[in-house]
Amino acid sequence: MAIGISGLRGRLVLLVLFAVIPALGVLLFTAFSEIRYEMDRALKDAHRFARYAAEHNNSAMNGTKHLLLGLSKIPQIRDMDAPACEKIFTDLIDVYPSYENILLVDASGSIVCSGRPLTITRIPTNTEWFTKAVSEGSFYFGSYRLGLVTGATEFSLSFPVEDNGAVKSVLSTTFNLSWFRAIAAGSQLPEGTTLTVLDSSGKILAMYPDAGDWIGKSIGRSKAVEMMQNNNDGMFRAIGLDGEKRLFGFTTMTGQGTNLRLMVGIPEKLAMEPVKKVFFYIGVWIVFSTIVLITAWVAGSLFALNKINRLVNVTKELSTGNLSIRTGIRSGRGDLGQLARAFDSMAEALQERDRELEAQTEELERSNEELEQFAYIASHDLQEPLRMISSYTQLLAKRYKDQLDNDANEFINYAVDGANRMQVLINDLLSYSRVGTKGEDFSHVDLNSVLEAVKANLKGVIEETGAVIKYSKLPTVMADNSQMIQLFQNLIGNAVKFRREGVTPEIEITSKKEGNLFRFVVKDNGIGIDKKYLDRIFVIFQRLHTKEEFPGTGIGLAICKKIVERHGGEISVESAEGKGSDFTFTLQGKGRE
Amino acid sequence: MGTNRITPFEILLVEDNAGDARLLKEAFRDIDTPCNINVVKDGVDALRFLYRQDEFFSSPRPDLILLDLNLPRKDGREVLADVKQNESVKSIPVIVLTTSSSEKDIQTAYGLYANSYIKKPVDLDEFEHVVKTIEQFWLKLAFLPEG
Repeated sequence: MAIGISGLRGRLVLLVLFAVIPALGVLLFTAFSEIRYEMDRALKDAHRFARYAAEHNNSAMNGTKHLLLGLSKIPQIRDMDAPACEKIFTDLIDVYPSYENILLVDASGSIVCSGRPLTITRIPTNTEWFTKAVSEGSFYFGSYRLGLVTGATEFSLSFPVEDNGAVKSVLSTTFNLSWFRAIAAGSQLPEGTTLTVLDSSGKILAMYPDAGDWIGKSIGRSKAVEMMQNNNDGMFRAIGLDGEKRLFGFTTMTGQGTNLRLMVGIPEKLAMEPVKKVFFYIGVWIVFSTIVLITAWVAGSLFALNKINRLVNVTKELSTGNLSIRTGIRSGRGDLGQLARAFDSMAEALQERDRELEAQTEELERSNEELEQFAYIASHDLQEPLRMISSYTQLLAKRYKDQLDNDANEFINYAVDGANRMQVLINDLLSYSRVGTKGEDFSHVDLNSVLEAVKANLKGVIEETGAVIKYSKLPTVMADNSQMIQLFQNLIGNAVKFRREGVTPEIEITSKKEGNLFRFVVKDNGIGIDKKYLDRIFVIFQRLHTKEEFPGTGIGLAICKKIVERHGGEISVESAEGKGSDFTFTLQGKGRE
Repeated sequence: MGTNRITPFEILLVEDNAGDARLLKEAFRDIDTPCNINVVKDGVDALRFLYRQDEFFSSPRPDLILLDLNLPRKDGREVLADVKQNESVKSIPVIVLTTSSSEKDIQTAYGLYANSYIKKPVDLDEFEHVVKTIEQFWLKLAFLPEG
């Protein structure tokens, strides 16, 4: 069976979710803080390292400057003693691999000595570092370029050796970027960290680890490049040349003529390594939560839903009338177990009540049948002897009228009258008992039609007395049609019968809706009823007048009461003797107004 | 007008109450049409009379049956059912004459092919009127089948 969020299972799962989700939220928040922290740290690391490397570069530049200055003071170099000079240069290169070469060139451009063997004997006289050193008489920092010989990034630094104000020769050293390999390799940075040197146009001058293809190429234009051009140092996050996300820190390498940027890129995934742990926890938490949810779902079925479903089904069965059904849940000390047991005892009680009711119904049917039998006996067996009395006394009177005196005839009259009245009483008793047993099923009864039928039935007396019957639109009620006719006919008939001498009978019938009931009043202007008899008039065979004044057995109002009660209502009377009576009764207003 | 006949009408009265039987006899005595009233006191005798069994071997075939419903031994309903299923007697008109005016009894009687259903009146005058009416209709106006 399908259970939505409103179902118990749905709610149980929702409850578990409510417990699990905040914890997950805390974990996620921790994860994101951690990411931000790690990212920040990596950026700072990259930046710090870039500055460190740039600093290193600057001091290397300064060192070189001092080296050249120192060399220019050495007599062998001033004297351009080639073999001695070469020895000095070679030793220096061996000690400092950053120096690609050290040269001494005379004023004419001829190479005096070189740290490394060269195939040429003189340099082109337009070589920048040479002309600048000669013309300016001071240090010249060349820009990084791709070495013609080595293919590596290098730059030259030159210093004129002067003698008495004239430039005798020029000392030059070619400096390569191999130094930053050493720095990078020696750093504590994560593996995969890149170092890049760019010129102001974004051209790559050097890279670590080596990426030969990229040297000399531009990284193009991007926000990152723009940022580097506009700032001396900073940090950013971008996708590296190899397509990997990196966290970059950059700074400016100073001390040279050109504006270079040194950029350190730490791979993001490496930087995020510590965060992985948190994601692992989140993963574990999600798995755990899922297991809890599934458990709640399954356990819900096992421990609660099965019982509840059983209860629901049993309730449905009960409502269809199968009172013998039980939940059969005997185990379980929990609320549901108690509920099930309480339910079963309720069903037991219901069944017991049903059995009692059935027995009572049977009893009632039996007594109804007995009543029917009685009614039949009354109508047939009791009347037969009466007929005998009546018929034979009449026959006696008829056959022997000449032989009987007046007394005998009078006695015979009393006997016949008595028998006839007995007959009427039996018939009345029969009608009275039949109100309950012979009633029709209730249907929608339009009381306006009922009143029409009553007026037709009473046409004789109405015309004879000139009685006026007034009523406005009456409602439709759920009732026994013929008993409604009987009820109104008895009341109106009584009102006409008990009229005042010389007063035209006026009868008014009104109705009023009171909640589920309709209250009716039949008001007359007749003789009224003495207050002390008011409570007796609905009792069968109670008569307030002699049969000489008003004939009748006193059955009419008793039948009215029984009819009203059968329809779930009440009847009462208010009266002022000599003025009239108000008979008030209620009927169940299941019908339409 | 019915047939002019010399012999009196044979009427079978099935009635356990001697008083009623006598009243009817008296009433029939007062009418013009000569009738011979044959009285049996219960249903068993009624059928034996009709089928001429035992002491009723020489009984006449009745022209009309007046049948009370509540009878000892075999009641009027059973007699009616039997008569109306028997080829030789089912053409004889049966008038149910009873004190009961219950709707159930009326339905049952006509359901068993009773020819009419009359309630016994209490008053003697009315009783005599009933008998006169039976005479007027069944013995004078209506044609009855020949035995």
